[in-house]
Amino acid sequence: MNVETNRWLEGLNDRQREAVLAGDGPVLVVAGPGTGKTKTLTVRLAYLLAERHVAPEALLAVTFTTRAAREMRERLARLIGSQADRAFLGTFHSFCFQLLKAEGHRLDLPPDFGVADRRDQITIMQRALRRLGQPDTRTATQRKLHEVIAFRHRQATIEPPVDDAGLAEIAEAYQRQLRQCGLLDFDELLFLLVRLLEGYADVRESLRQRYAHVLVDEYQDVDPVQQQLLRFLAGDRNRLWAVGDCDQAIYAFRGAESEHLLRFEQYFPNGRVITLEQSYRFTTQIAAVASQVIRRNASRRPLTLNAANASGVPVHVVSFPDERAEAAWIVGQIEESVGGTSHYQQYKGKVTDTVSQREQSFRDVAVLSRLHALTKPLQEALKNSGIPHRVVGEARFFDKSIVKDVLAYLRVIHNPHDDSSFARVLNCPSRGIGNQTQAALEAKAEQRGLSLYAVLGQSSVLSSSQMKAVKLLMTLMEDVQRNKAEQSLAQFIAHVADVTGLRQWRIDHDPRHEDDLLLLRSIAAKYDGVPTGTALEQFLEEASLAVEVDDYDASIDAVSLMTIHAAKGLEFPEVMLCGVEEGNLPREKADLEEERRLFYVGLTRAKERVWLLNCRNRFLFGERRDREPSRFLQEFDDSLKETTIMPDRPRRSKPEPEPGQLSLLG
Amino acid sequence: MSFIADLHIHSRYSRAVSRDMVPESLYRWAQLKGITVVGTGDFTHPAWFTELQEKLEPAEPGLYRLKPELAAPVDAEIPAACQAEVRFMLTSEISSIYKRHERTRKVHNLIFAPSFSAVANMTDKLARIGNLHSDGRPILGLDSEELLRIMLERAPEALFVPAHAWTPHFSVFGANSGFDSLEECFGDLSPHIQVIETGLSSDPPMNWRLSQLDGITLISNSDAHSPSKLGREANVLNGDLSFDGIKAAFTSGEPALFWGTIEFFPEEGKYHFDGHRNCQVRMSPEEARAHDDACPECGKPVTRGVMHRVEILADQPAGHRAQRALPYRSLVPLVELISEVRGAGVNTKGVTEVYKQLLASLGNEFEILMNVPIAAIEENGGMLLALAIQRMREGNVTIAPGYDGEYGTVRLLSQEDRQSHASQTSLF
Ligand SMILES: [Zn+2]
Ligand SMILES: [Zn+2]
Repeated sequence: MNVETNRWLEGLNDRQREAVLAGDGPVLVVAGPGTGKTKTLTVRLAYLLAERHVAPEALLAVTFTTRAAREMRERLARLIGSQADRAFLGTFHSFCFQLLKAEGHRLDLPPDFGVADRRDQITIMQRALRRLGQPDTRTATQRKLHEVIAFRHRQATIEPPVDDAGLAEIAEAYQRQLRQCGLLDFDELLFLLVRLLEGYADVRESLRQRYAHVLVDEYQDVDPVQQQLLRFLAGDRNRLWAVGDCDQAIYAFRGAESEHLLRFEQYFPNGRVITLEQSYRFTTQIAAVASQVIRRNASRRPLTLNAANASGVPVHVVSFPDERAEAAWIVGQIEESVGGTSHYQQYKGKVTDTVSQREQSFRDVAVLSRLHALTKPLQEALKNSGIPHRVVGEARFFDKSIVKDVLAYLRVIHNPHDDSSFARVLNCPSRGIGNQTQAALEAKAEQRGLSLYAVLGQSSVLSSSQMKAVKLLMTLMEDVQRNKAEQSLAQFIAHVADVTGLRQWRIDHDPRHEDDLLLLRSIAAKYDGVPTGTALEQFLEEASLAVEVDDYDASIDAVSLMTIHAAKGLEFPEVMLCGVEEGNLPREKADLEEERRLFYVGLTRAKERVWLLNCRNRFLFGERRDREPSRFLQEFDDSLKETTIMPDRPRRSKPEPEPGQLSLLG
Repeated sequence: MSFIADLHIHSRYSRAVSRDMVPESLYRWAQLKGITVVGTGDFTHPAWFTELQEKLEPAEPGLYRLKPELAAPVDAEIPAACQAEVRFMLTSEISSIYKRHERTRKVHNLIFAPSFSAVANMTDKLARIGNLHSDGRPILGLDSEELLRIMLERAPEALFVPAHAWTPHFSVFGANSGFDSLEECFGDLSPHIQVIETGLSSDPPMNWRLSQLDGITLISNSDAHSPSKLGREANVLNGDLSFDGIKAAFTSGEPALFWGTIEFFPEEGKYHFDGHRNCQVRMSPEEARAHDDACPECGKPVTRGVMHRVEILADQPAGHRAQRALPYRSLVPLVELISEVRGAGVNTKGVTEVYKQLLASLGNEFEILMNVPIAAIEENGGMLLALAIQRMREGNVTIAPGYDGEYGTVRLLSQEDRQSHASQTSLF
């Protein structure tokens, strides 16, 4: 083995090394939180390249988020340099997208198809419903979309397929509309690729030839369709190397099944299972609490976390009279954690320990909850306190209005028949085309089975002034088309925003749009040097496949408020878990084991200190209710926790009469 | 023309600040104190910014004045001896709390801006980074270097000044969460730092002991949280009365443009010595070293004061004069002097009455403290006050140094002074 490889291997513990050096497969690595999952996966890739002389093109590693994919790429590049670029390291969706671009013609997909985002899906479903004469209000549309998605999943995975004539009709109409706009939705990327592989042995074979090794991250989150895809790819040789943790499976509601992870040996009788239990993330106390709680789950693999850092403090359980008390306490605790944020607090003795050297800053603290709604009072309190904080995952960058506008223009430039994007640019900036006119245009397009763009030129729906504005838009788009080769993508974006009047229009409304536009251009700048046509296509792919996009500016120090789901894969020195109450965590009537996993994932985000917070009374979703502390708080030894019960608010001297009494007296 | 500028103050929109910190009061107290240019403070706060735009109008380039209709009623109440022109400069302080080089840093920085539009350019950006509404001195999770970069990009003509550079908890050289050098804090942008504010607990000679501050101009401001605290420290300028004139005086440190500073006796500052407030333990740096920096009462580490911190970073002997050394004068606020003479609290009615009376007959406070002949003071304020002011001017003071957030206490008169003068005269 060469020197380099030895150096990588020396950085691993025995189990990790075993996982890296394992034979061709199938291999399942069960990796507890903080046990070095990504590191092991990356060294495995590097090892295959360096020692087993696998060509980079023959490596396929798939994961779920662009964040995870990027991390994998960066780490691998650090180990082996630019070879990493030639391996496929990406998300399931980007893999499907690429293959369908190359082979989709066999399924009659147009070569320039795009991917529909959530907004497109809703517009398109609305149109499908209208066409079928069904209610198309926003709520009805969302509900139908949800049903159709679930229906298609069942269709794809259950033998024999479910029979629901009503839904089947809607699903078909929806799909037809999608195609008319030249779009596929997220799920279809997977369905269609599976169909392609089922139907075309040559494609299947050439893929199996190409990929000598298939590696999967977050194996517990794989859904049945993805599992089917993996089986096609791994083929009979079963060159599958998967890493996951059934205890961190919290996506059952999205259709993920950790079944294949639990019964790995049944699926692959010659499979090998390696368990990583040595965690480098947290203190022994946190490891012990997490292990004791999760042990109660039946459907899991045996795994007991070991942690080396014995210097920790007990897990704190704090109970509050209500959510306002909880919010105020959290603000105080953050002040305490960073050692005070003003002279005033220190002078007033609000921060007790002013003299010890603290090393915590805002970014080291995360407040996790099941729902964003739960932290609304806290957001208010933080706003008043002036403590920098960010609510992660709320306003996604690609959902910001000017960004959506620019993307819509780019999509139309790329494919003028993308109706949902065309509908957006039509009156943006304002061209005097109101909703009614737009609806009339859409009706006409539907009637003739044409795109909006195609009917515009010949339309009698528009008034002459509207027509003039539209003509101008179309000439503009044609000009822009012609000029695109001369500019980099970033310049092109600026050009489009300027000549269409979009930039001025948005900025007049709110100057902050300028920054969003700048950020969009800086994202596009990485395509500098790539011909604009190609860059445009790749950029649109990136934007539409970005399920979670980094609007996260790492240069800014702030407390993170996020859902437990969003925090998966992250770690923080200090974590406060809010709303650890019956009815919330666990939720009523929910699968208790899944709920316990959610608690486990929240808990194991913490490296040094964790607080489990509950309110005895909480106002949530328009309802004030008494609440019990979560049963999970009873599922670990008392010796591992320190409990504080904050007293009820002092009663007012004159108790307010109950509404019932009032009416009796009145 | 020589004039006095106090540029670091806070508005009523900052935490723990008097409700009375409004443009009209600043205008009034600047005249009583003898300040020509007063900072607005808090320009990042949206409500304060709007109030300033409504109440001020442009005067000399980059400076503003209170609108005449607002100034007139204030003028009517100001003794003729104190009446003077007052200019406002747009200034603000930002509290940056962030990690750099693996440690949590807390640094306060000042920005002086020449126009409302320059301010708007910066706050547009800052508003996206953090919350500017909750505090006139906003807390941002923004590296000081980044803050400086934003200023250089958005308002290059503005001036960036690390605030009260030595306070232990919130400053560039602070013992608890600061840095050992400007380079460590500002990286490649450190050449843009040409001016620092020394803060109440340090005076110029302490700063001269650091060779890294040789090319840096030292300025002083009050950091006032109530109008009567205006001018506790300030700058005496000789140059042009304009934003650029003041900026040039500061960045060049040229004696022709910048006479020097008015200082607290540094011992009077809240963080001069080491100590532990909760245990009422005050220690000199030597004493603290003898105790391994631990509080003898509770055993916890003491809060390291400015004196000790300077000694740690100093690379030149005490008494060394920097290239840019400018003159300075150490003063004690007039109300404190009156309070000592009368043996009554600074906020008592008697002290306030005497203060008003002195201003009415002798002129503004800086005049009284620095220039009015001792004989005239004696005539109007009695012999004890004259003696106290004389001693102050000579630097002949006894001070119990401040520590861990507790102000130091100054004494100018002894028991004997009182006895010998009590027989000769009554106060008034
Ligand atoms: Zn400050
Ligand atoms: Zn003590």
